[in-house]
Amino acid sequence: MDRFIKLLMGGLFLTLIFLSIDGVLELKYHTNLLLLGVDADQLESLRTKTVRPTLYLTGAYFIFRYFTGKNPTSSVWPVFVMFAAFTFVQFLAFFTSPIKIAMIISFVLSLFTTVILRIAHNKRQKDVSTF
Amino acid sequence: MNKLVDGIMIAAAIFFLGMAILRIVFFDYQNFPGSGLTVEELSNWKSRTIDSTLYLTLLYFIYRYFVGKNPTSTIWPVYVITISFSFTQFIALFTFDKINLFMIINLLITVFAVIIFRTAHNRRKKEISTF
Repeated sequence: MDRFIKLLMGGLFLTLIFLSIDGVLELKYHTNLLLLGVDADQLESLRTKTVRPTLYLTGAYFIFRYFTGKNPTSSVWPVFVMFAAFTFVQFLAFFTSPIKIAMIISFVLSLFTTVILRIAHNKRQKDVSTF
Repeated sequence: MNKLVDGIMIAAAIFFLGMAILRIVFFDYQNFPGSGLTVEELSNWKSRTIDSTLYLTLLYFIYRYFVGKNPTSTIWPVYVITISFSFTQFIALFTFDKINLFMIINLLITVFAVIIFRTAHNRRKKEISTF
């Protein structure tokens, strides 16, 4: 399980490096790469509904935590929160968008990653004594 | 100073939550009044800045997971989000087709938010002994 978590985190790390470079420089290599069957406009609409709210929800959650005085947290927790938020907004998108098979696959993958990240967080939590 | 930090944190939380709801419910292409950008340009700018911010933030926390840095303050993820957003906006000034007042004001507001979040983080850091 340990090796699997590290592999998943490593895979995510590499994918995110690619997405970051692609995003910052607007290379558009990822346009329609994962969401086959969705045109550029639909993909843009889907990103507006999913990727961007994920960032806002994460920001709102951590400011809420700041005010409730919950402190500290593990390094995996922000990644978990982002994936949980991403899964949540993808679930909502099923009710507001035409459903495509790629959306279901993306949702299932996000849900799976969220579960693994939760396990990784729980393990890391045990390593520190401040929780 | 404490009141200013708290005030800005509350405003940021309301902004994040409002934007998340707006994006989830009223998801179609939206223009920002007075931005001086067309809907397509604004959408392009968001892809370069907001989406990349999410990826860079995730990258950073996965990196922290691997280097074993743990734990972090609750405000740290919000600080990382805003500093990534400043970075992507700065890069966009060189890669985007045009530079206008909206982009510069937005960058200045984000840099101001970065300073406030850093102040909030430093304050919170002193309250716990794990750093």
